[in-house]
Amino acid sequence: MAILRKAQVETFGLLIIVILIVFIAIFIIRLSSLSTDNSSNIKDSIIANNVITSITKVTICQKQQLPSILKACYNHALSCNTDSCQLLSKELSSMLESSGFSKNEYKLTAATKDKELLSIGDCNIKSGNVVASSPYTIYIEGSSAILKMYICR
Amino acid sequence: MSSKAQLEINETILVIVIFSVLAIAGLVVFHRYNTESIKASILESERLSFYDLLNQVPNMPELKCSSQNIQDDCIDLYKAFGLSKLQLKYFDKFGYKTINLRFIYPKLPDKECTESLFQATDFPNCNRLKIYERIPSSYKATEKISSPVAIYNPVTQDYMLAVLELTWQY
Repeated sequence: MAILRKAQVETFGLLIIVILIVFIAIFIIRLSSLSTDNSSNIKDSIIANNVITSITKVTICQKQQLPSILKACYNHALSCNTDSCQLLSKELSSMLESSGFSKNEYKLTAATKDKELLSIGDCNIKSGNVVASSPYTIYIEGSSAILKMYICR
Repeated sequence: MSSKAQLEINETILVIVIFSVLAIAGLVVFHRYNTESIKASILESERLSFYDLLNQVPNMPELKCSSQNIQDDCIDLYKAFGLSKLQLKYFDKFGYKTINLRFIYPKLPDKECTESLFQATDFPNCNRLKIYERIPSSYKATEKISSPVAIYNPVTQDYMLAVLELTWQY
């Protein structure tokens, strides 16, 4: 009788342990599937690419768009009687901040192999949670500049 | 002998009852958890479709600017105004959403673009255009996202910058 009771208690204990293990396993699987926040990254990636495609189109001054002013910036020429690099920095900062980006939320860069032409925004692109746009290439007399937008969250 | 057998039967019944209670409780918890998990997956999928509108809306043929059948990465200002007049036809596509354009560059007067302003020679002399609006009678949450888009004015042949604002009530 005593042996039977002991066996029952042990079986019961084993059952509880099995149930606990099953629940813990379910929660671990669930938490691991939640840990990657893909939807937010997808949204930021779409926004970063939309920023690049839209700012390259906008008429900044006298029918001039970003690619032609960036070329002038590379050649140290003026655009609309203003230093081209300064004009780009000023106008693009104004556009992005009017779009709802705070200074430390974004970084917009344009650079050739040997020269940085534009860098606005204070987002630290080496920090963990950064989403970048696809690189947009602007051809400049025998060279090319890569325009890229980073969004920090 | 009889009382020992009865005692063993009682013990067995007790074990079966406790096991059944635990198993039923486990099933109930698992079912609730599973239902919540499915609801969360559906919401996540709807959220992804909502985010995808940031990409879909500027690429709709009804809005996208084009010249001689060559499409460009921008929204035609006049097509956008035209679409705002056909809101009812887009419920199947957008559902309960609000789609607005807010012109931010160059700076324009802070007012809603209306039919009378559209007829004016200096259009767009306004900075807000409601492309689509459908709000459910009751909702628990609201989500807003926005993204810059280029707007082409075929009359002046200039490109402006606007923010495409999407709102989802669910």
